Order: sequence, then C-alpha cells, then structure tokens
Amino acid sequence: MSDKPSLLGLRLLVVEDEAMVAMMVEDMLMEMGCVVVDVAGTVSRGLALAGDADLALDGAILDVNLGGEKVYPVAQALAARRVPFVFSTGYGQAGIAPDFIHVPVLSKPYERRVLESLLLTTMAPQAPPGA
Amino acid sequence: MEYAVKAAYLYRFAPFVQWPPDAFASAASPFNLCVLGDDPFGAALDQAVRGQSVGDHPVVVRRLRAAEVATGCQILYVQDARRPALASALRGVRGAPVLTVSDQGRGDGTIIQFVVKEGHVRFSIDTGLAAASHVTISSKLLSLAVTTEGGR
Amino acid sequence: MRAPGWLRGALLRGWRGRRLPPWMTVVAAVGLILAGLSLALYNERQGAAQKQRAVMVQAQILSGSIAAALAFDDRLTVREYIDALQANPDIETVGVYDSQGSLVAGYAGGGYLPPTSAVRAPLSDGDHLVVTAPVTQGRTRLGSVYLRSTREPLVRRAAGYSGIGLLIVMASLVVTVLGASNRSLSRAHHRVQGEMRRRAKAERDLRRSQELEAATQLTLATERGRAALRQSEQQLEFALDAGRLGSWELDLRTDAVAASEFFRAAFGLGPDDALDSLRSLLAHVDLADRPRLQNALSRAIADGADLEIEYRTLTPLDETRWLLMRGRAAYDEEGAAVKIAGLSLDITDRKLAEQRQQSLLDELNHRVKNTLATVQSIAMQTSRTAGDADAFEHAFLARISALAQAHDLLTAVAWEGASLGDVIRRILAPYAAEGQIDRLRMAGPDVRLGPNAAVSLAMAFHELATNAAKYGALSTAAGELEVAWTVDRPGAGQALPLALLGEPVALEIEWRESGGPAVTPPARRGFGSRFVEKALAREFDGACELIFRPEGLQCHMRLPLSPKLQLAA
Repeated sequence: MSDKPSLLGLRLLVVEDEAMVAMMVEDMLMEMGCVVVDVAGTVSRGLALAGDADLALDGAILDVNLGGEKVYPVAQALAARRVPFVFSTGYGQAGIAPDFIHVPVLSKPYERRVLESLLLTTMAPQAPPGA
Repeated sequence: MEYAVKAAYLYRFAPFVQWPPDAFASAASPFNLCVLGDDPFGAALDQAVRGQSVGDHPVVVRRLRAAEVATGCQILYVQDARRPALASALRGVRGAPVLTVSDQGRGDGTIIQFVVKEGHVRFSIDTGLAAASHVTISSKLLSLAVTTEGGR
Repeated sequence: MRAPGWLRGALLRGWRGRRLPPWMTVVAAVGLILAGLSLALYNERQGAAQKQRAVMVQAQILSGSIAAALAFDDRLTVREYIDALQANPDIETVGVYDSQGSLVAGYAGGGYLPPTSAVRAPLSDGDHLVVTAPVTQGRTRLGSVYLRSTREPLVRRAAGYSGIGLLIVMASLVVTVLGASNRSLSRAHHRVQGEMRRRAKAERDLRRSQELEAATQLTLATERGRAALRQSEQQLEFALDAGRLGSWELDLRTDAVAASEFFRAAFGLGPDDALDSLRSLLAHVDLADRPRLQNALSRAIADGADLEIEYRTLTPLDETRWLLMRGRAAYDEEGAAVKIAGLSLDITDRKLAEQRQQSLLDELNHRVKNTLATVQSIAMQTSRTAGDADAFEHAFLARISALAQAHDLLTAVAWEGASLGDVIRRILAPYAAEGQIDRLRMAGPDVRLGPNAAVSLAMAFHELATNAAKYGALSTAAGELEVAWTVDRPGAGQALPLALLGEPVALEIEWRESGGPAVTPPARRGFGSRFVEKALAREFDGACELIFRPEGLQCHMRLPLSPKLQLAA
C-alpha cells in the first residue's frame, strides 16, 4: 500500500433488507479490506447499531427501502454521530428524500469499482493510518 | 420783436414734446422753463407764459446763472451754446430729460435751435440728441422744422 | 319634398277662406305706401348723419395736421393743408383761425368765409353743412378750423328713393291680382286637395298593409329563430351533459362568474353554493395552482390566445379534483376585453391513472434493479463455491429458477406479497413427483410474505432442498421431509386457550429431514448454510440454526413478525 487513501480496516455498517444482496455487499467490502461491523435488515436493528456509541463506525451503506420502511431514521442517527454514509437504491437519485439530497447514491446492481471509489471519496481518511 | 416771437415759441414747444414721468418731482410740480446765461427775452417771456400750464404743471420761468445745475428744468434755453461755460452746463444735462434750446451754435449740444429764415423765426431739431435725452418730439413739430438731424 | 305640416295647414286655411274683400286691398296698399315713405325718410336722415360724420373727420384731420404750423405761425404750411382739401369737391369753404379766433388762412369756393370763427355744433342749412373743430395740442388750445360742405341736391336724392316707390306700386299690383285670382285658385286648389287626400289615404292603406305583412313575417321569423335557438341550446346542453363538460363565463366588467352544474361539481359545489366571482372561484383552487391559473387567465385576456390549463380544485370536503379548463376572451368594438368564457372537463380519473402509471413505472424500475442486484449476488456466490463451469451453470440456473418461482408467485398477486405455504410448495414441487407425495409433509397457518421476504425464503428453501436432494433425506427413496411452521405468542406452551394468548410475535419454522443417509456435520460451511444462518437471520432480525443430527438435518428459524412477514387476517 502506498500513500493513497485506503479503505483498509475501515469499519462499516451495512443496512440492506434483502439477504442475497446483503451477502454480496458484505463480500465486496471484505475483499476491499473493510471490516463489516454488522449487517442490519430492518430499521429498528439499524437504529440500534447506529445509536450504539460503543460501536466504532467509519461509515455505512444504507439501502433506502427496507421492506416498505424508509431507512432515514438510521441516516439521521448516523449523521448525528458524524458517521459518513451512502445510500443504495434501485430508484436512483429521484427516490431520495429532500433532506438527504446531498448524500451520494449507489445504484443497484452494484459495480465494484463504483462502490470502491464512492467509499474512498466519502469515508477514507486522507492520511492513511500506519503504512 | 424777434425775441418776443421766440419767447412765445419757447413755451409753445411744450405741447409737442413728451417728457418721461420722472422728469417731474410730482404731479403738481411746476413746469420749469429755464434761461441759462444771458436773457435776451426780458419781460416778454414772463408775459408769454403768464397763467399758462403744461398739463397739470403751471409754467414757471427760472433764470439760472451759468454755474447752476439745470437738470430740474424741462426746457433750458441758452442764447449761445458755443460759450464754454454754457457748453459745459449743457454737457451736464446731457442724458437728462431736458429739452435744450439755443439761438446760436448749431451742432453744439442743444436739441432745438432757432433759425431766422426769410424774415420768419423757424427752428431745427436734433432728433438723435432728443432720443438720448429721453424726450419725445411730436412728428407734427418735426414736420415743421427746417432741418432735422439724426443721431451723431 | 313636401312642405312642413304647419305651413301646409296655413296655406290650406288661407285658400279655403273666402275671397279677399276690396277694403282690405285698399288698406294693404295704403299701408305699403306709408311704409315706403317712412323708409325714405329714414334713409334721408341716415344720409345726413353719415355726411356729417364724414365732414367732421375731415375737420379733425385738418385740425391735427395744422396744429404745429398754427402754433409757430407758419402760414405757408397751413396754406398747403388747405390747398390739399380743395381737391375734395364736396368741401366748399375752409377756414383756419388762431387761438384768438382771427382768420389765419382759408378759401371760399363760392360761398361766405367768416372772418372770425368760434367752435360750435355742426349746422345744416338746406343743401349745406357747416362743421367747426378746435385745434389743440395736449391741453393747449391753438385755434380752430371751419368747413362748409355741400350735400347732394334733393332731386337726386329723391331719384334714389324712386326705386322704393316702384316696389310699392308692384306690391299694390300683386295684392290686387291676388284678390282677383283668389276665387279660381281656390277652386283649383279644392280639386288638388281632394286628390291629395285620396292619395294620402291610399298611401296610408298601402303602408299599413305592408307593415302588417312585415310584422307577420317578423313574428314568424322570430318564432322560427326562437325555436331553432331553443333546439340548439338544448342540443348544446345535451352535448355538454353527455360529455360531462362544464361551462363557465367570467364577466370582466363586473367580475361575475356564471358556472354550469358540471363546472361547479368539479369544485364539489352544488347549484346554491357561492361561486359568483373570480375571487370565490380562486378560493376553491389548490393553493399551488392559483398563480398558474391567474397567469393563464391574464395571458388569455391580454393576448386573445386560447386558454387551456389543468389545475387542481379544493372541494369543501378537502378532496382534490383535477379540472381541464378551456376558454377564450371576447372583446368589444374598442378592443376592450368584455368577458372570458369556455368549457371545463373533470379529468381527475385521468390524472389519477397517470399518477398510478407513473408510480408503477417507478416501482417496476426499482424491482428490476433490485432483482438484477439479487442475480448479481447469486452469480458471485455461485462462482465462489462452484468447482467448475458445469457445476456453476447447474447451480446458477437452479438458483435463478428459484428466484423466478418466487417472482411468479408475487406477480400473481400484483407483487403485493405471497403466502409462505405457496413458496414452500413451489420450491419443493420438483421433489413431490408422482408417488413421492407421502415423503413430504407441510403444515402451518397462512402467513403473508412481503416481496423481499418471499424471495429470500424461496432462496433459503431452495438451498435446503438442494442440499437434501444431494446429501439428505431427498437423496434416497426412503427419506422423509417435514416442514412445519407455527406462530409464537406470549404465553404459548402454557396450555392456555387461544383467546387468552397475547398478540403473535414471531414465526417459528421447522425443517426436519429423516430416513436419509446418516448425517455428519460438514467440515466446511457452504453458501447455503451461510445464507440461511447469517443472511436470512439478519434480514428478519431473527435467528436461524442448522442442526446436523445423524438421523437427519434440522433447520430451525425464528423470524419476528413484521410488515413483511405477518399472519394473514
């Protein structure tokens, strides 16, 4: 690893309600060297994790629609902790609530390169730890 | 005899001449008929104007000595305008509303000069000097003058 | 052209009267002569006065001209003016006097020139006129002038008046002739008048009958017009009703709104509810659409362009309806807008359909993207675990097939969800072939699954079934499989009646294989166990466990109930 910003060791929370998709995201993130702290399938589970002050988080990937519920309460909890996050959705930018219009959106299906660069720009520390 | 006629004429110019309103101190001020220097008329002039008036102004004959200021006169007669003392007095009233009359000295600063022609007393008029003195002379009088002169 | 009525009346009365009596003729003639004489006298007087004025002016001109000459005793000049007057033949004698009244100059053209003179009033003696005038300058009296003028001789003046006499004679003649011809004229006139009366009557009758005919035709035409109008109004009304079209009109001078029943209905208003001004109309328009409607109206009025706008109304019941309004402004001769009017159509149904269609398209897009993500994941997971290309193809297609089964079920109910029993039956159907039905047992209450839950559970059961068919109970003819699901309620297991149990909280699913080959726990967990134990548990925030018993595999799932997983009503 050089001086480039790195995703290595980044602690991430994934909120995704479709088991199959969640697995893929988890795998992709692990391959990039991230630590997937947990995967939440529901808003209540997501809120519990995001609101846990003892749980160190560097960022989160939030599926907007969780079985009919919107993920925004989790987003608010993360924003309150200043944890950066990105949305993932099949609706595209148009499906995002006005309050979160500035949050980057990851379109389904995922492209590994897009996911990586999005995480680098939004979550990676500018000075790489250690190295 | 000649001066008796001139004395009568001197007063008769008045109805044919208009003086500006400020020529008189007030509406009842006298009409001053002045003689400066030598007086060739004697009592004839006083007789000619006795009881006469010009408009509302009674005619008064004043005989002035050469040194006196003649601007209060409406008609100022000098016998010989060429005499230095009289000439300077005439220059003193130039521009003031005074009808100046002389016997001699054409071109020497009086508006009207008496002329004797074919045994009759006639007169010439300097209209330029009249205009400079702000006195208006009736065309009737001008038509009777032997010569009239324009401005100088 | 005809004489005015009053004149005709006077003439008729005159002609109709008896013949003029002779004494009247005489009186008229005498009257005319008297009038002529007084006219002549008047003329004579006027002539004298005019002459006097003319000579007076001459005297005054002379007096003004000689004033200076008189004052300064210039007799030559005086003489010149007098000579100039001699050119006038009317002036006979002229004299100029000094202030003492003594003669200065003058001439006597055939008359007497007085040696002294004083000013006095003009004097007329027969054919002569004497005029005097003072000579003054300012207020100074200088003398006087004396003028004597001749007048025209009386004979010549009389000749001038003879014209008047001639007129009088002619007038007398006319009076006499009129008197004589009065009788015959009167007779002729009676005939003419009779004729005129007859003609007037005929004309009146003709006009009356023409008027009657015209009135009849007008009445008929009006009746026909009214009938046609009524008919077209009825047709229009019918057409409007049939098309559910409303009509509206806004009077721009009075701000009054007239609206039909259908127009009002789109605002949720009855015939008696207030909708009489633009203001009250706007009050019933959705706040967000009000400026747009106002702009469209002003533009249509200003440009004369056709108005066409769709906007939302607010009914008194807070219901939103959509209205399509078309119209056009009308103008007077000076180009001022008088009114704007048009039709309206309630397009709420169409708008709702459009909105539904749009949201369906959005939803479809979302689902396709989500499904692609699922397929993407299946491909990745399969490629990770498959040994070779054949194995990948087999496993991948099988998993895609399971996904398709779930989608089939979802599509059947408009993607609103699927029944848990249906999902399990569908996935296990390949293993329930003829004669093998007994080995499969499925039982449980009706549980509704949301779309994602249906897909995930279908995938989970597919993995379990595939595993069973490969290594477990479904790999031998003797093996059996039981899938049973129950709903957990607080207090369950205490043998209480159902009515006393609490609300259901979780779904318990038991997958139990038996009669197959002896089971040993695998050395390495594959995709299936990871999916069921971890991914599925996380999705539902529940717990799933695979138990490798020697007599057969068991899978226990406890999934809390949620909107995507609920007991059917």
